[in-house]
Amino acid sequence: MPDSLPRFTGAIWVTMLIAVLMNNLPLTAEWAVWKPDWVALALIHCGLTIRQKSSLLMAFFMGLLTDALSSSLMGQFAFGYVLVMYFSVRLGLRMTPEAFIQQIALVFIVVGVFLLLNLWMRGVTGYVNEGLSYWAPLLSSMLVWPFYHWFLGFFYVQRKAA
Amino acid sequence: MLKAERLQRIQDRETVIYDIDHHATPGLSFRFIVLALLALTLVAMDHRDSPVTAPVRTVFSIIAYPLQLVVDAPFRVYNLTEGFFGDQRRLSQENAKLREQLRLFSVKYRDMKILEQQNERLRELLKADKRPNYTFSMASILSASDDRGQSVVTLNKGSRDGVFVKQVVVAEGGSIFGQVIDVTPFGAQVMLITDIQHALPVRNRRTGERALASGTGQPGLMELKSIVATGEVRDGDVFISSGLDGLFPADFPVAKVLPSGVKYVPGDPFANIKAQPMVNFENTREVLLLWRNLEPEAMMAPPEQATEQDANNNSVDVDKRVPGSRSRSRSRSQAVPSMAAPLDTV
Repeated sequence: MPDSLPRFTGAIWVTMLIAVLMNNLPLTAEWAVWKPDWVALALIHCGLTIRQKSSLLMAFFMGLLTDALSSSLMGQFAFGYVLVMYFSVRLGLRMTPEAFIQQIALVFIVVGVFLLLNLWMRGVTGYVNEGLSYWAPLLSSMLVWPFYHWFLGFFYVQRKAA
Repeated sequence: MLKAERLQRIQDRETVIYDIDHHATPGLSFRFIVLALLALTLVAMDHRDSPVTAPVRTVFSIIAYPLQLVVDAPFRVYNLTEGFFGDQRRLSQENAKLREQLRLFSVKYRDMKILEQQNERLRELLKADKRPNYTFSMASILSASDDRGQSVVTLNKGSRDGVFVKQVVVAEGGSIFGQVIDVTPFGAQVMLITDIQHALPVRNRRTGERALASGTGQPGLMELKSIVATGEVRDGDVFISSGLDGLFPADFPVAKVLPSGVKYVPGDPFANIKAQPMVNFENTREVLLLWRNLEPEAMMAPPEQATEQDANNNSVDVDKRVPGSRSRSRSRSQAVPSMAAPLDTV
Protein backbone atom coordinates (compact mmCIF):
# COMPACT_ATOMS: atom_id res chain seq x y z
CA MET A 1 0.00 0.00 0.00
CA PRO A 2 1.60 3.35 -1.01
CA ASP A 3 2.05 5.67 1.92
CA SER A 4 -0.10 8.82 1.89
CA LEU A 5 -0.10 12.16 3.63
CA PRO A 6 -2.96 13.87 5.48
CA ARG A 7 -4.81 16.32 3.24
CA PHE A 8 -4.80 18.93 6.00
CA THR A 9 -3.51 19.33 9.56
CA GLY A 10 -5.57 17.25 11.94
CA ALA A 11 -7.06 15.06 9.19
CA ILE A 12 -6.29 11.94 11.23
CA TRP A 13 -8.13 13.29 14.26
CA VAL A 14 -11.10 14.32 12.10
CA THR A 15 -11.18 10.75 10.77
CA MET A 16 -11.19 9.42 14.32
CA LEU A 17 -13.83 11.91 15.45
CA ILE A 18 -16.15 10.83 12.65
CA ALA A 19 -15.55 7.19 13.58
CA VAL A 20 -16.37 7.81 17.27
CA LEU A 21 -19.54 9.68 16.35
CA MET A 22 -20.62 6.86 14.04
CA ASN A 23 -19.89 4.35 16.81
CA ASN A 24 -22.23 6.22 19.12
CA LEU A 25 -25.15 6.77 16.78
CA PRO A 26 -28.25 5.38 18.46
CA LEU A 27 -29.56 2.31 16.64
CA THR A 28 -32.40 -0.08 17.25
CA ALA A 29 -31.48 -3.45 18.75
CA GLU A 30 -31.86 -5.20 15.37
CA TRP A 31 -29.43 -2.83 13.65
CA ALA A 32 -27.04 -2.57 16.59
CA VAL A 33 -26.18 -6.26 16.20
CA TRP A 34 -24.70 -5.52 12.78
CA LYS A 35 -22.91 -2.30 13.71
CA PRO A 36 -19.23 -2.52 12.77
CA ASP A 37 -16.64 -0.91 14.99
CA TRP A 38 -15.99 2.23 12.95
CA VAL A 39 -12.99 3.27 15.06
CA ALA A 40 -11.29 -0.09 14.46
CA LEU A 41 -11.91 0.25 10.71
CA ALA A 42 -10.57 3.83 10.74
CA LEU A 43 -7.45 2.61 12.54
CA ILE A 44 -6.97 -0.11 9.92
CA HIS A 45 -7.31 2.55 7.25
CA CYS A 46 -4.68 4.71 8.98
CA GLY A 47 -2.38 1.72 9.41
CA LEU A 48 -2.58 0.97 5.70
CA THR A 49 -2.53 4.42 4.11
CA ILE A 50 -0.56 6.69 6.45
CA ARG A 51 1.69 4.15 8.08
CA GLN A 52 4.40 6.69 8.95
CA LYS A 53 1.94 9.10 10.55
CA SER A 54 -0.18 6.55 12.40
CA SER A 55 0.45 6.32 16.08
CA LEU A 56 -0.18 3.57 18.58
CA LEU A 57 -0.60 6.22 21.24
CA MET A 58 -3.52 7.67 19.28
CA ALA A 59 -5.09 4.19 19.11
CA PHE A 60 -4.62 3.88 22.88
CA PHE A 61 -6.25 7.28 23.46
CA MET A 62 -9.18 6.42 21.18
CA GLY A 63 -9.56 3.15 23.07
CA LEU A 64 -9.80 4.89 26.45
CA LEU A 65 -12.32 7.34 24.99
CA THR A 66 -14.42 4.45 23.70
CA ASP A 67 -14.13 2.73 27.09
CA ALA A 68 -15.54 5.85 28.75
CA LEU A 69 -18.31 6.14 26.16
CA SER A 70 -19.33 2.49 26.22
CA SER A 71 -18.95 1.99 29.99
CA SER A 72 -16.65 -0.97 29.44
CA LEU A 73 -13.62 -1.68 31.59
CA MET A 74 -10.97 1.01 31.25
CA GLY A 75 -8.34 -0.37 28.93
CA GLN A 76 -10.55 -2.95 27.21
CA PHE A 77 -10.94 -1.06 23.93
CA ALA A 78 -7.55 0.59 24.40
CA PHE A 79 -5.91 -2.84 24.24
CA GLY A 80 -8.04 -3.87 21.27
CA TYR A 81 -7.36 -0.72 19.26
CA VAL A 82 -3.60 -0.82 19.94
CA LEU A 83 -3.63 -4.38 18.65
CA VAL A 84 -5.67 -3.39 15.58
CA MET A 85 -3.24 -0.59 14.73
CA TYR A 86 -0.16 -2.78 15.25
CA PHE A 87 -1.53 -5.62 13.13
CA SER A 88 -2.63 -3.22 10.38
CA VAL A 89 0.81 -1.66 10.09
CA ARG A 90 2.64 -4.99 10.30
CA LEU A 91 0.36 -6.88 7.90
CA GLY A 92 -0.07 -3.87 5.62
CA LEU A 93 3.66 -4.00 4.87
CA ARG A 94 3.26 -7.52 3.61
CA MET A 95 0.35 -6.69 1.31
CA THR A 96 0.29 -6.05 -2.39
CA PRO A 97 -0.71 -2.41 -2.90
CA GLU A 98 -4.37 -1.95 -3.80
CA ALA A 99 -5.09 -5.67 -3.78
CA PHE A 100 -8.69 -5.58 -2.73
CA ILE A 101 -9.06 -9.19 -1.72
CA GLN A 102 -5.97 -8.87 0.45
CA GLN A 103 -7.44 -5.80 2.12
CA ILE A 104 -10.67 -7.66 2.89
CA ALA A 105 -8.65 -10.59 4.24
CA LEU A 106 -6.70 -8.18 6.45
CA VAL A 107 -9.93 -6.64 7.77
CA PHE A 108 -11.25 -10.14 8.47
CA ILE A 109 -8.17 -11.14 10.44
CA VAL A 110 -7.68 -7.90 12.35
CA VAL A 111 -11.35 -7.33 13.23
CA GLY A 112 -11.67 -11.03 14.04
CA VAL A 113 -8.79 -10.87 16.52
CA PHE A 114 -10.23 -7.65 17.96
CA LEU A 115 -13.67 -9.24 18.48
CA LEU A 116 -12.08 -12.36 19.94
CA LEU A 117 -10.20 -10.27 22.48
CA ASN A 118 -13.35 -8.35 23.38
CA LEU A 119 -15.20 -11.63 23.80
CA TRP A 120 -12.54 -12.84 26.20
CA MET A 121 -12.73 -9.59 28.22
CA ARG A 122 -16.52 -9.78 28.29
CA GLY A 123 -16.28 -13.33 29.54
CA VAL A 124 -13.95 -12.22 32.33
CA THR A 125 -16.33 -9.42 33.37
CA GLY A 126 -19.42 -11.66 33.28
CA TYR A 127 -21.10 -10.37 30.13
CA VAL A 128 -21.77 -13.56 28.24
CA ASN A 129 -22.56 -13.31 24.55
CA GLU A 130 -25.72 -14.46 22.91
CA GLY A 131 -24.24 -16.80 20.30
CA LEU A 132 -23.30 -16.39 16.68
CA SER A 133 -24.81 -12.90 16.38
CA TYR A 134 -21.77 -11.64 18.29
CA TRP A 135 -19.77 -12.20 15.10
CA ALA A 136 -22.18 -10.23 12.87
CA PRO A 137 -19.97 -7.07 12.96
CA LEU A 138 -17.15 -9.13 11.43
CA LEU A 139 -19.27 -9.73 8.35
CA SER A 140 -20.61 -6.17 8.23
CA SER A 141 -17.06 -4.78 8.63
CA MET A 142 -15.94 -6.64 5.52
CA LEU A 143 -19.03 -5.46 3.63
CA VAL A 144 -18.68 -1.76 4.52
CA TRP A 145 -14.88 -1.71 4.24
CA PRO A 146 -14.70 -0.78 0.51
CA PHE A 147 -17.07 2.18 0.95
CA TYR A 148 -15.57 3.32 4.22
CA HIS A 149 -12.02 2.98 2.83
CA TRP A 150 -13.06 5.03 -0.20
CA PHE A 151 -14.74 7.68 2.00
CA LEU A 152 -11.75 8.05 4.33
CA GLY A 153 -9.49 8.31 1.28
CA PHE A 154 -10.71 11.91 0.84
CA PHE A 155 -8.79 12.90 3.96
CA TYR A 156 -5.42 11.78 2.57
CA VAL A 157 -3.37 12.43 -0.55
CA GLN A 158 -0.90 10.00 -2.05
CA ARG A 159 2.73 10.89 -1.53
CA LYS A 160 4.41 11.97 -4.78
CA ALA A 161 7.44 10.01 -5.90
CA ALA A 162 10.71 11.86 -5.30
CA MET B 1 30.76 -19.24 -15.97
CA LEU B 2 27.54 -21.10 -15.44
CA LYS B 3 28.11 -21.08 -11.70
CA ALA B 4 28.69 -17.32 -11.69
CA GLU B 5 25.45 -16.74 -13.62
CA ARG B 6 23.48 -18.92 -11.20
CA LEU B 7 25.00 -17.05 -8.26
CA GLN B 8 24.06 -13.74 -9.83
CA ARG B 9 20.47 -14.95 -10.36
CA ILE B 10 20.17 -16.01 -6.72
CA GLN B 11 21.54 -12.65 -5.58
CA ASP B 12 19.03 -10.82 -7.80
CA ARG B 13 16.16 -12.88 -6.37
CA GLU B 14 17.29 -12.16 -2.81
CA THR B 15 17.44 -8.48 -3.62
CA VAL B 16 13.84 -8.61 -4.79
CA ILE B 17 12.73 -10.53 -1.70
CA TYR B 18 14.50 -8.26 0.77
CA ASP B 19 13.49 -5.13 -1.06
CA ILE B 20 10.27 -5.17 1.00
CA ASP B 21 11.11 -3.58 4.32
CA HIS B 22 9.11 -5.41 6.94
CA HIS B 23 10.51 -3.16 9.65
CA ALA B 24 9.82 0.22 8.12
CA THR B 25 8.43 1.47 11.41
CA PRO B 26 11.25 1.16 13.95
CA GLY B 27 10.21 0.90 17.55
CA LEU B 28 6.65 -0.11 16.72
CA SER B 29 6.84 -3.47 18.47
CA PHE B 30 8.33 -1.94 21.59
CA ARG B 31 5.62 0.74 21.75
CA PHE B 32 3.00 -1.93 21.14
CA ILE B 33 4.22 -4.08 24.04
CA VAL B 34 4.37 -1.09 26.43
CA LEU B 35 0.88 0.16 25.53
CA ALA B 36 -0.65 -3.33 25.53
CA LEU B 37 0.76 -3.97 29.01
CA LEU B 38 -0.52 -0.59 30.18
CA ALA B 39 -4.00 -1.33 28.81
CA LEU B 40 -4.09 -4.77 30.40
CA THR B 41 -2.99 -3.28 33.74
CA LEU B 42 -5.82 -0.76 33.51
CA VAL B 43 -8.29 -3.56 32.73
CA ALA B 44 -7.14 -5.60 35.72
CA MET B 45 -7.30 -2.60 38.04
CA ASP B 46 -10.71 -1.46 36.82
CA HIS B 47 -12.07 -4.99 37.15
CA ARG B 48 -11.03 -4.93 40.80
CA ASP B 49 -12.61 -1.48 41.30
CA SER B 50 -9.26 0.12 41.97
CA PRO B 51 -9.54 3.83 42.86
CA VAL B 52 -6.65 4.52 40.47
CA THR B 53 -8.82 4.08 37.36
CA ALA B 54 -11.64 6.34 38.60
CA PRO B 55 -9.87 9.62 37.71
CA VAL B 56 -8.88 8.20 34.30
CA ARG B 57 -12.50 7.35 33.60
CA THR B 58 -13.68 10.74 34.84
CA VAL B 59 -11.21 12.58 32.60
CA PHE B 60 -12.20 10.57 29.53
CA SER B 61 -15.90 10.89 30.37
CA ILE B 62 -15.48 14.68 30.46
CA ILE B 63 -13.70 14.54 27.08
CA ALA B 64 -16.48 12.31 25.73
CA TYR B 65 -19.30 14.57 26.95
CA PRO B 66 -19.16 17.07 24.02
CA LEU B 67 -19.15 14.11 21.60
CA GLN B 68 -22.30 12.76 23.22
CA LEU B 69 -23.88 16.20 22.92
CA VAL B 70 -22.97 16.29 19.22
CA VAL B 71 -24.56 12.86 18.63
CA ASP B 72 -27.65 13.92 20.56
CA ALA B 73 -27.91 17.32 18.81
CA PRO B 74 -29.94 16.16 15.76
CA PHE B 75 -32.59 14.66 18.05
CA ARG B 76 -32.79 17.80 20.15
CA VAL B 77 -33.00 19.97 17.05
CA TYR B 78 -35.72 17.69 15.67
CA ASN B 79 -37.71 17.97 18.90
CA LEU B 80 -37.36 21.74 18.90
CA THR B 81 -38.27 22.20 15.25
CA GLU B 82 -41.13 19.75 15.54
CA GLY B 83 -42.59 21.95 18.26
CA PHE B 84 -41.92 25.10 16.27
CA PHE B 85 -43.27 23.97 12.94
CA GLY B 86 -45.84 21.64 14.45
CA ASP B 87 -49.41 21.67 13.30
CA GLN B 88 -51.23 24.48 15.15
CA ARG B 89 -54.41 22.45 15.52
CA ARG B 90 -52.57 19.43 16.89
CA LEU B 91 -50.65 21.61 19.35
CA SER B 92 -53.79 23.32 20.61
CA GLN B 93 -55.47 19.92 21.03
CA GLU B 94 -52.46 18.65 22.95
CA ASN B 95 -52.46 21.80 25.05
CA ALA B 96 -56.15 21.39 25.91
CA LYS B 97 -55.56 17.76 26.82
CA LEU B 98 -52.66 18.68 29.08
CA ARG B 99 -54.72 21.41 30.79
CA GLU B 100 -57.45 18.88 31.43
CA GLN B 101 -54.91 16.45 32.85
CA LEU B 102 -53.47 19.18 35.05
CA ARG B 103 -56.91 20.05 36.47
CA LEU B 104 -57.61 16.38 37.14
CA PHE B 105 -54.26 15.77 38.77
CA SER B 106 -54.49 18.90 40.93
CA VAL B 107 -57.77 17.61 42.40
CA LYS B 108 -56.28 14.14 42.85
CA TYR B 109 -53.20 15.66 44.39
CA ARG B 110 -55.27 17.56 46.97
CA ASP B 111 -57.03 14.32 47.84
CA MET B 112 -53.72 12.51 48.06
CA LYS B 113 -52.27 15.12 50.42
CA ILE B 114 -55.22 14.59 52.79
CA LEU B 115 -54.68 10.85 52.63
CA GLU B 116 -50.98 11.32 53.18
CA GLN B 117 -51.59 13.39 56.30
CA GLN B 118 -54.09 10.83 57.60
CA ASN B 119 -51.59 8.09 56.87
CA GLU B 120 -48.92 10.00 58.73
CA ARG B 121 -51.14 10.44 61.81
CA LEU B 122 -52.06 6.74 61.78
CA ARG B 123 -48.43 5.75 61.46
CA GLU B 124 -47.60 7.94 64.43
CA LEU B 125 -50.37 6.31 66.47
CA LEU B 126 -49.12 2.86 65.50
CA LYS B 127 -45.52 3.91 66.17
CA ALA B 128 -44.69 2.84 62.64
CA ASP B 129 -41.74 4.19 60.66
CA LYS B 130 -42.31 7.29 58.62
CA ARG B 131 -43.12 6.71 55.00
CA PRO B 132 -40.38 8.20 52.85
CA ASN B 133 -41.17 10.97 50.44
CA TYR B 134 -39.34 11.66 47.21
CA THR B 135 -38.13 14.56 45.18
CA PHE B 136 -37.72 14.10 41.46
CA SER B 137 -35.67 15.84 38.86
CA MET B 138 -35.89 15.24 35.13
CA ALA B 139 -32.86 14.28 33.05
CA SER B 140 -32.41 13.51 29.37
CA ILE B 141 -30.69 10.46 27.97
CA LEU B 142 -27.67 11.57 25.95
CA SER B 143 -26.45 8.26 24.68
CA ALA B 144 -26.95 4.55 25.15
CA SER B 145 -24.36 1.82 25.05
CA ASP B 146 -25.81 -0.85 22.81
CA ASP B 147 -23.05 -3.29 23.60
CA ARG B 148 -24.68 -6.69 23.85
CA GLY B 149 -25.75 -7.71 27.33
CA GLN B 150 -24.60 -4.43 28.80
CA SER B 151 -27.34 -1.83 29.15
CA VAL B 152 -25.97 1.51 30.24
CA VAL B 153 -27.20 4.98 29.31
CA THR B 154 -25.63 8.38 29.89
CA LEU B 155 -27.71 11.20 31.38
CA ASN B 156 -27.15 14.92 30.93
CA LYS B 157 -27.04 15.55 34.68
CA GLY B 158 -24.03 14.88 36.86
CA SER B 159 -22.54 15.55 40.26
CA ARG B 160 -22.97 19.34 39.82
CA ASP B 161 -26.73 18.65 39.73
CA GLY B 162 -26.51 16.50 42.86
CA VAL B 163 -26.54 13.12 41.14
CA PHE B 164 -24.71 10.42 43.08
CA VAL B 165 -23.69 6.80 42.66
CA LYS B 166 -26.46 4.28 43.45
CA GLN B 167 -29.17 6.88 42.92
CA VAL B 168 -32.42 5.38 41.70
CA VAL B 169 -33.73 6.41 38.30
CA VAL B 170 -37.37 5.99 37.30
CA ALA B 171 -39.08 6.39 33.94
CA GLU B 172 -41.83 8.92 33.33
CA GLY B 173 -44.65 6.54 34.24
CA GLY B 174 -43.07 5.82 37.64
CA SER B 175 -41.60 2.47 36.62
CA ILE B 176 -38.10 1.68 37.79
CA PHE B 177 -35.52 2.41 35.10
CA GLY B 178 -32.16 1.67 36.73
CA GLN B 179 -29.48 2.97 39.06
CA VAL B 180 -26.58 5.36 38.68
CA ILE B 181 -23.23 3.57 38.51
CA ASP B 182 -20.87 6.39 37.66
CA VAL B 183 -20.97 10.18 37.94
CA THR B 184 -18.95 12.96 36.35
CA PRO B 185 -19.56 16.68 36.85
CA PHE B 186 -21.59 16.87 33.62
CA GLY B 187 -23.19 13.46 33.25
CA ALA B 188 -24.07 10.20 34.91
CA GLN B 189 -24.11 6.62 33.70
CA VAL B 190 -27.14 4.56 34.57
CA MET B 191 -27.25 0.78 34.55
CA LEU B 192 -30.68 -0.33 33.35
CA ILE B 193 -32.64 -3.01 35.18
CA THR B 194 -32.29 -5.18 32.06
CA ASP B 195 -28.50 -5.26 32.28
CA ILE B 196 -27.27 -8.80 32.58
CA GLN B 197 -25.48 -7.95 35.84
CA HIS B 198 -28.44 -6.23 37.47
CA ALA B 199 -31.07 -7.62 39.79
CA LEU B 200 -33.53 -6.09 42.25
CA PRO B 201 -35.95 -7.54 44.79
CA VAL B 202 -39.60 -7.41 43.78
CA ARG B 203 -42.95 -8.71 44.93
CA ASN B 204 -46.10 -9.76 43.14
CA ARG B 205 -48.68 -6.97 43.40
CA ARG B 206 -51.52 -9.53 43.46
CA THR B 207 -50.19 -12.12 45.89
CA GLY B 208 -47.29 -10.38 47.61
CA GLU B 209 -44.95 -13.22 46.69
CA ARG B 210 -41.31 -12.13 46.67
CA ALA B 211 -38.81 -12.65 43.85
CA LEU B 212 -35.65 -11.28 42.30
CA ALA B 213 -36.04 -9.47 38.96
CA SER B 214 -32.91 -10.16 36.98
CA GLY B 215 -31.78 -8.56 33.72
CA THR B 216 -31.07 -10.68 30.66
CA GLY B 217 -29.19 -8.18 28.54
CA GLN B 218 -32.16 -7.91 26.17
CA PRO B 219 -34.15 -4.65 26.35
CA GLY B 220 -37.58 -6.27 26.52
CA LEU B 221 -36.93 -9.28 28.72
CA MET B 222 -36.33 -9.96 32.41
CA GLU B 223 -36.27 -13.10 34.51
CA LEU B 224 -38.05 -13.51 37.81
CA LYS B 225 -36.00 -15.76 40.03
CA SER B 226 -36.39 -17.45 43.41
CA ILE B 227 -40.10 -18.17 42.98
CA VAL B 228 -40.87 -21.69 44.14
CA ALA B 229 -42.52 -23.99 41.62
CA THR B 230 -45.59 -24.20 43.85
CA GLY B 231 -46.00 -20.41 43.65
CA GLU B 232 -49.11 -18.82 42.25
CA VAL B 233 -47.84 -16.65 39.41
CA ARG B 234 -50.12 -16.02 36.44
CA ASP B 235 -49.56 -14.46 33.05
CA GLY B 236 -49.91 -10.69 33.26
CA ASP B 237 -49.04 -10.44 36.96
CA VAL B 238 -47.28 -7.17 37.75
CA PHE B 239 -44.21 -7.25 39.97
CA ILE B 240 -43.37 -4.13 41.94
CA SER B 241 -40.24 -3.24 43.87
CA SER B 242 -40.31 -4.62 47.40
CA GLY B 243 -37.91 -2.08 48.85
CA LEU B 244 -36.16 -4.81 50.82
CA ASP B 245 -32.79 -3.88 49.40
CA GLY B 246 -32.93 -0.44 50.99
CA LEU B 247 -31.97 1.11 47.68
CA PHE B 248 -34.97 0.94 45.37
CA PRO B 249 -38.12 2.49 46.82
CA ALA B 250 -41.03 0.13 47.49
CA ASP B 251 -44.16 -0.21 45.32
CA PHE B 252 -42.73 1.09 42.04
CA PRO B 253 -43.67 -1.09 39.01
CA VAL B 254 -40.83 -3.17 37.60
CA ALA B 255 -42.04 -5.92 35.24
CA LYS B 256 -45.09 -7.75 33.97
CA VAL B 257 -45.19 -11.52 33.39
CA LEU B 258 -45.28 -12.30 29.67
CA PRO B 259 -48.08 -14.38 28.14
CA SER B 260 -47.05 -18.04 28.56
CA GLY B 261 -44.05 -16.72 30.46
CA VAL B 262 -44.40 -19.08 33.42
CA LYS B 263 -42.76 -22.46 32.93
CA TYR B 264 -42.18 -25.29 35.35
CA VAL B 265 -39.29 -27.63 34.65
CA PRO B 266 -39.72 -31.06 36.29
CA GLY B 267 -37.16 -31.46 39.05
CA ASP B 268 -36.45 -27.74 39.32
CA PRO B 269 -37.65 -26.38 42.67
CA PHE B 270 -38.06 -22.91 41.16
CA ALA B 271 -40.36 -21.66 38.42
CA ASN B 272 -38.89 -20.29 35.21
CA ILE B 273 -40.62 -16.93 34.71
CA LYS B 274 -40.07 -14.48 31.86
CA ALA B 275 -41.31 -10.94 32.26
CA GLN B 276 -41.38 -7.75 30.28
CA PRO B 277 -40.05 -4.59 31.94
CA MET B 278 -42.67 -1.89 32.44
CA VAL B 279 -40.37 0.63 30.75
CA ASN B 280 -40.00 0.77 27.00
CA PHE B 281 -36.28 1.49 26.99
CA GLU B 282 -36.03 2.14 23.27
CA ASN B 283 -38.59 4.97 23.34
CA THR B 284 -37.57 6.60 26.58
CA ARG B 285 -35.75 9.90 26.15
CA GLU B 286 -36.36 11.47 29.57
CA VAL B 287 -36.09 9.92 33.00
CA LEU B 288 -36.55 11.07 36.58
CA LEU B 289 -33.80 11.06 39.17
CA LEU B 290 -35.07 10.30 42.62
CA TRP B 291 -34.06 11.79 45.97
CA ARG B 292 -35.53 10.42 49.17
CA ASN B 293 -36.70 12.92 51.81
CA LEU B 294 -37.14 11.63 55.30
CA GLU B 295 -37.64 14.92 57.09
CA PRO B 296 -41.25 15.55 58.20
CA GLU B 297 -41.03 19.16 56.95
CA ALA B 298 -40.13 17.92 53.52
CA MET B 299 -42.98 15.45 53.64
CA MET B 300 -45.52 18.16 54.34
CA ALA B 301 -44.11 20.51 51.72
CA PRO B 302 -46.15 20.70 48.53
CA PRO B 303 -44.33 19.71 45.37
CA GLU B 304 -44.47 23.30 44.15
CA GLN B 305 -41.96 24.08 46.87
CA ALA B 306 -40.01 20.87 46.37
CA THR B 307 -38.51 22.21 43.21
CA GLU B 308 -35.13 21.69 41.67
CA GLN B 309 -33.76 24.05 44.29
CA ASP B 310 -34.66 21.47 46.91
CA ALA B 311 -33.08 18.82 44.77
CA ASN B 312 -29.91 20.83 44.60
CA ASN B 313 -29.98 21.42 48.35
CA ASN B 314 -30.44 17.73 48.91
CA SER B 315 -27.69 16.93 46.53
CA VAL B 316 -25.21 18.97 48.52
CA ASP B 317 -26.02 16.87 51.55
CA VAL B 318 -25.84 13.74 49.48
CA ASP B 319 -22.36 14.50 48.30
CA LYS B 320 -21.31 15.01 51.90
CA ARG B 321 -22.99 11.90 53.16
CA VAL B 322 -22.00 9.41 50.52
CA PRO B 323 -18.25 9.05 50.72
CA GLY B 324 -16.52 7.81 47.64
CA SER B 325 -19.59 8.47 45.57
CA ARG B 326 -17.45 8.57 42.47
CA SER B 327 -16.34 5.00 42.90
CA ARG B 328 -17.62 2.65 40.28
CA SER B 329 -19.79 -0.28 41.28
CA ARG B 330 -19.39 -2.76 38.51
CA SER B 331 -19.37 -6.22 39.99
CA ARG B 332 -22.62 -8.12 40.36
CA SER B 333 -22.45 -8.04 44.15
CA GLN B 334 -22.49 -4.28 44.04
CA ALA B 335 -24.98 -3.91 41.19
CA VAL B 336 -27.37 -6.09 43.15
CA PRO B 337 -28.08 -4.13 46.29
CA SER B 338 -27.36 -5.96 49.47
CA MET B 339 -30.37 -7.09 51.49
CA ALA B 340 -28.58 -6.12 54.67
CA ALA B 341 -27.51 -2.72 53.40
CA PRO B 342 -28.67 0.21 55.51
CA LEU B 343 -31.04 2.73 54.02
CA ASP B 344 -29.27 5.29 51.91
CA THR B 345 -29.68 8.57 53.66
CA VAL B 346 -30.87 10.36 50.58
